[in-house]
Order: sequence, then C-alpha cells, then structure tokens
Amino acid sequence: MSPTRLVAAVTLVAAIGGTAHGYDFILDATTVGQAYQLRAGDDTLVNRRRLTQSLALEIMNLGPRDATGRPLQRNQVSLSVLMRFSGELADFADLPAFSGRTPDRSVARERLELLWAYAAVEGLAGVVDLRLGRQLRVDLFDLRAFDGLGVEVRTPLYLALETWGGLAVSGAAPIDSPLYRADGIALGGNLRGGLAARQEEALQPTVGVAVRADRLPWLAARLSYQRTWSPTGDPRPGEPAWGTIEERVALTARGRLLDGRLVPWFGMRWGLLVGRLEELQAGLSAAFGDHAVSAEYVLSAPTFDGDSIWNVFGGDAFDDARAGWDFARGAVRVWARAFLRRFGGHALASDPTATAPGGGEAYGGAGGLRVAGRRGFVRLDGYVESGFGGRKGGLDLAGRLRLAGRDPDGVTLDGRASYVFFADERLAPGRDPATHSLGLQLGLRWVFLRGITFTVAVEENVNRWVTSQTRLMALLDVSFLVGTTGRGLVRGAGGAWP
Amino acid sequence: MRATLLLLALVTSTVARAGSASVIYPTRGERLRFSHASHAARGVACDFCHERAASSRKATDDLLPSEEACATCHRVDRKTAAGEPCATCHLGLPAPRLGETPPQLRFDHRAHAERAIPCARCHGDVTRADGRPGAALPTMDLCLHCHDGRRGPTHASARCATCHLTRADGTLETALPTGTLVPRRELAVGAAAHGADFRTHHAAQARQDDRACTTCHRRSECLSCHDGVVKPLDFHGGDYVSRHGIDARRNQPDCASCHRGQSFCLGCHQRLGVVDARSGVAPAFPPLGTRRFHPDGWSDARAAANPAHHAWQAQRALRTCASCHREESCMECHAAPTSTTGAAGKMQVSPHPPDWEQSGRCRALASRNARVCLRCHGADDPLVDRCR
Repeated sequence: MSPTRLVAAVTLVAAIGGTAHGYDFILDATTVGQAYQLRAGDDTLVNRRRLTQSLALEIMNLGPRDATGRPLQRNQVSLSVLMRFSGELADFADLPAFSGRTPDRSVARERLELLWAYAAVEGLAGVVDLRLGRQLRVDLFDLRAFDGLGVEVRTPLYLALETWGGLAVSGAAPIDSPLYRADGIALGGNLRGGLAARQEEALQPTVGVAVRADRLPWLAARLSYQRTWSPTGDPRPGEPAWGTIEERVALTARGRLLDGRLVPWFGMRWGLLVGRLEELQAGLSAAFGDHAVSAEYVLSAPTFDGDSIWNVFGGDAFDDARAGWDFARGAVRVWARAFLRRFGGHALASDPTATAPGGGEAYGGAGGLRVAGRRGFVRLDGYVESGFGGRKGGLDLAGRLRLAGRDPDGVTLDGRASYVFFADERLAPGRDPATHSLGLQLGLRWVFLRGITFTVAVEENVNRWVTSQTRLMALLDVSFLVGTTGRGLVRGAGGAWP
Repeated sequence: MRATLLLLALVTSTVARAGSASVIYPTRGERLRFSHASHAARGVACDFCHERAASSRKATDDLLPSEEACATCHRVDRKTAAGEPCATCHLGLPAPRLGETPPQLRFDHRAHAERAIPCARCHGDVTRADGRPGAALPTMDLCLHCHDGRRGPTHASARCATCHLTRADGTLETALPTGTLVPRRELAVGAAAHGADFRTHHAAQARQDDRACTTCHRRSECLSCHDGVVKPLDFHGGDYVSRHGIDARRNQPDCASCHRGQSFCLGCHQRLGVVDARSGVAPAFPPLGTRRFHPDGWSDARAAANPAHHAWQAQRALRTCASCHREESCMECHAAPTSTTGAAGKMQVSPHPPDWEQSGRCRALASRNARVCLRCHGADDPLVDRCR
C-alpha cells in the first residue's frame, strides 16, 4: 500500500470509527420537490417543477467544558455552512437571451447558492464574539448578508458594541444569493453599457457599527448604522467614482415591564441616502389574565438601492394603525386583529394642477379560533379587507390529526379548506374584477428517529379562470447531531406545514 | 364532508388543557395524601424527608422521600399489615411510582444550598400548604427575581440556558417529551406568545430583538420560510397566486420580508408574460400585448382628473411597480432631454415630487450617489448641479 493510500485509509477509519471528542456536529439536509401550475398572461396554465436541495453543516463547541461536559460560555469555536442548489424543470424556461442585454439571472435553471459560511469564536476572554466569513444579519429592519468580519464586545456597563465590515452579498457573484439583494437594479436583462448593466456585478463594500443594551432583562435596545457603497463600473465622463448603495441609521427598543405584562416597543430607520424616515414602529401590548391587547403604529416607505431611479420618484410612505386582542385559556385560543392603512399622495411637479385623488385608504379585520387537543388541533380563521388594492374576504378551516406515534415523532395529517372572495379592481377594463376561489390542501407528515421528516402536500384550486390548478410538494429533511453532549438526532425545521 | 366532520369530532373530542408549566413540570399521577403543614407543625425539617436535596446537582434526581424515610415515623409493615394502614398516605392501591417523568429543566440544588438560599425561597411556605405536593414547585417568575443578569451575591445569570435544556448548538430544546416548549405570554410581543397567528405576525419582535428568537430557533429555520423556496401553506392559503396582487399592492403582509421584487417577482412575471414589453425582454409565454393589466387612462399624458393614472398609484405602491417593470419603463417617458441613456425621455415628464431641488432628499441623494441623477440627466445638465 502506498503511503498516500495508507494515510487516506487511516484518516477514513479515524473519521468513521472514532468517538467524537470535544465538539458537536450537525448535518441538516433538506430536499424539496415541487410541481405546480401558474396562470400565464394569456390565461393558460404553465407547469413549473422545482427541485431544491439545502445542506447545512455545523461544527460547534470546539472549546472548554465544565466538569459535567457542558460547553463553557467562553472561547468556543464553531464553523457553520448553509448552501443550496436549485433546479428549474418543466415549462418554466429561461428567458430568451437578447443581444445587447445582460443575461437574465432573476430565475436560474440551475443555481448554487452559499447562504452563509463562517467561522465564529464566542466568548473570547469572556467578552468578545468574532465571526468571519459569509454571515447573515437581521438588522435595520431587513435581512442582509456580507462576506467579512463581525465583532461584538460586551462591556461591564450593560452595553455591547458591534462592528462589521466586508462585501455585501448582492446575488451577482457565482455563488451569491439574490435573496439578500436590495430592489432597484434588476439582476440581468439590462442594456449593456448602461449604468444598470455596469453596476449589476459591482463589488459592494459595507461597514456598520452598533451599540446595544446587554444583560438588561427589562430592556432590549439597539442603535446601529450601516453604509454600503460601490465603485462605478467603467465610469463615463461626469460620473462619480463611487456611489452609496445604502446608508441607514436605526434605533430599536423594547421594554418588559410589570413582569412582562406590559411590553412597549419602538423602532425607526432613517435613510441617510434618501434623506427621509423609512420605517417607524411604535406599539404597546398589555396582558391581564387570559386576555391581552395590543396597539401599534407603523410607517413604511419604499426603499431601493442607491443606484435606482425609484429613489427619486414620489413613492410615499404609508401609515398603519393596528389593534389586536388575544384570549388564551388552556387549549383554546381566540384572536382578533384590525388595521387601517393610509397611503400617501402628493401633488405632481409635472402637473401642479393635479391633486392626489382620494381612495388611498385600506382597512380590514381578521379573527380566529384555535382549539388544541391531544391528537391535533382545529382552527378557523376569517378575514375581510377593502380599500386601496382591492377587496377580499375569506374563511380558512384547518386541522391536524396525529395518526400514530408520540410527539415529536409520528405521523400527522394536515388539511385546510379555503374559500376566498376577491376583487382586484385595478385590472384592465373588460375583465370582471370579482371572483370566488376554493382551495383544498392536504398533507401528510412522517417524523421518525426524531430527526427525519418526510412531508407530502397537495393543493387543488378552483376559481373562475381555472377548473383545476394543482400544486404538489414533497420534502425530506434529515438532521443529525453527533457530539459529546449526547449522540442523537435533532429535528429539522422547515416545510410547508408549521 | 363526512370525513371532515369525523376529523373535527375526533380532534375536538380530545381537547386537552396544555401550558408551558405542564411541559416543564409534567403532570404526575400522584395518588398520595400528604400534608406539608402537619409535618412542619411537628417540627420536621425539610431535609429530614428530602435528605438528598441539598446535594442534588440535577433536576432529574429523585428527591422524593423514600419509604424508608417515611418509616422513620410511620409504622410501615408490608408483611403483616400490622402498622398504619397504607391508606394513611396512599390513595388507592397498588400505589403508582411517583416522579417517573422528571422536570424538563436543568437545576442544581446544591449550588442554591451553598448560597444559603432557604428552601422556602423557591418552594414557598409549605408549612401552610396542604395541597398536592407538586404544587410547591417554583415558577419562572420566581426564578427571575434572582436570575436577573445582574452581578452580586444575590443575583445570577438570566440566560435561558441556565435552567432550560439546550441542544448542542446552544439553542433551547423545545421538542420535549412532555410537549412543545413555547414562550410564556409575557415574553412575546403583542401578547400573542406564539399564539394562533404568531407565525404570520412576528415581524415586530424579530426585527427589534432577534436574539430572543435565536434563543430557541436556528437561523436556518428563519430561512426555511423567508427565502421563498417553499410556500408555507398556512401563510399563503389556497389559490394564493391568483389573489396575491391585492396583498402586493397593499403590502399586507410585507412581501419584501421573503421576496425580492427585482428577482423573485420580476423573474416570474417576465416568464409568465405579464411584464412591460417596452423593457425589451420578451416573455417566455406569449401573447404579451393582447392583455393589459392596467385600467384605461393609466398612462395618459396628464394625471389630473384621472384617479386611475399611474402617477397616483405609483406614489402609493411603488414597490409593486418594481415587481413587473425595470427602470427603463419609467425612463422612457421620465428621462430628461439631456439623457444619454435609454429612450431619452420622449415625454419629458418630471417624476420628482414638488420642490425637489430644494428638498433635503435631493441634496442627500445627490451628495451620496450622483450616479442615480445621471440615469436620467446628462452629465452637463444644469438641473443636476442645482441639487449638489
């Protein structure tokens, strides 16, 4: 046996036969197959078949442990990767390539995405967390990812400081994901030579800082700033060398008062790039006995990346007032919601005599009842909405029944029947805007060994345009945990059913 | 229909009362008569019966007194039945074994005893308790009085994992043999506490304090819904594609939390033949052009007196424009005559709000990214200089 083969054999045996020491390992593989029909512009049904394979690998707890074998909260190293392969089949084809335009990449026949891949050190010297690689940030009221370094330092003053920097993930690189790309410049299909085409693949450096409250059970608060910019690709005369893609400052705060019976919250995001308030949230919830009520105000303005002309258009924010009531006693939950949304409007620079018309309000309410049992639940939801956008109202009856096994393993049957009336009144003349629709969904989920989940679901819809529209979904999720904290399997997440 | 009714009857007939307390402290089939009060009145100390409590390091330890401990005072004689009747303590025979399902917690009695924390601090004044023995178990509110994250001899860590069972990745174990662990009402926003519509209305909490979410959920769980690969059937019910236009225009729910307009939405709309042909990208499924998706007067030269004009609709729902149109659609009419790109504004209609040149928005944008101005204006356009 050659030395190379000997080393390979020893490595293989060690990897297979050895007991894991000093770390935990999670492998989570999900395969989703979907087949469904979409109504095209000429009312024909188009078949779309998709195959999606996700693979998550995590190695964690590479660090010191206490006497009982539990990882200590310091000097813990971990590695995490989540990648996804997507394939498009059936009629949902590529768009024809046009000369003079960049290739369309909004939907790819085959796409490999690296959603994140990073190495992390947590509790360095007890106070510093580091993360290096492609990482996800739920921040500034949005979901973003970047390739770079993130650092967090917890101080003794009940404050933690964060900073991060790197290249924003925009979907343009070979294994990027468009999931994180801000709207504005379309991903492909742009005229070559134009700024949109030149900026499609531009690198986008990004930096950010934040300070947040730490270890205060009654307050979660965070003030953050982030800026992303890009160089101008092949700059033309008069064009600046750089431009900002986004620059924002955000403040969020959430209190927990009276042992959590009173929860006020506030959040705002100011767009420095566009010079206006982009998001504002303020709310209060109060719980007393089995009841809870909440009230919330939301302002939201449309935002786009800094190269988009839509930033200079007159897109207005909407104001939203929301109220809710919840009741929970034992296995019974009842809830009700209401909202009133007012869309903005203003005069036009191009036509000063024209004033914004009325009808910029939308309103609606919803309510539901859920009753849980030892073997499942039933729930009934109803809703009605009207105003800007159209009218709709519907009822949704859903249920779950455990056919065999004990939670979390076992076989469960899910079903849902939906009736909806809707009227999309902005359609072109000659098309009756109102229609009724009936949808039926049925799903079977089999969980075994606590970590393997197999789900199949079928949906059938009938409405004025189609007498049969079918959707079929099958999902296999396999999650393994192997490690020093106990060999075993963990249950995976995801799927069409909650 | 009969099958549906049968399903409803089957589920509702097995309605059970459930709560986080019963998940943490499983309901025990105790059939025991016991009075802490009468024992305390006789001067019996806690550790006389619960002799292993002060040294216990795990919640799974069985700290209930053994029959041997009871026999110190009670005359137990199984062979001749000459002692006290079994019914003194046991409610029915054969007596079930107690404490078979341990609390789903991590708890170190010894650590608390070493800090000289008296039993009554957590278990209350059992000298007045004549209820069932398990009623003296502490609630989370009580724990949080000391486990408040502050430093000092009477304070302790507020980390959830201090007491709750965790997975290897540090997140809390929520799939317990006793049921699913969910946050208490007080810990959730909107007081919904993972209630009936929490799956569709958790944005406020997640955006403001996602650390609370990641206590129990791995990031991959977020993406399993938020990446738009699989339609969650409870979120987008039957026939959702047919009616999604209403929700999109109203932005209720927020489409952008899962779908990017310029990839997910535009990509599908292009292929299905509902996009603007003027962008030059032909759809995969014709005919485009014989079907219009906008009402009459949508693109008239003047917006006045026409509430259906796209100018007003764009003000209210610009996001939905971006789900079908590229910027070229807009630039065709709105670009300035000095533009060197695209169609160079055949109608030359300013898309700016009134007094744009004097606005802070104009100055902010021009100073941070002048490229966007040059999409519609020529580099030497004096209008651009007014903003700078």
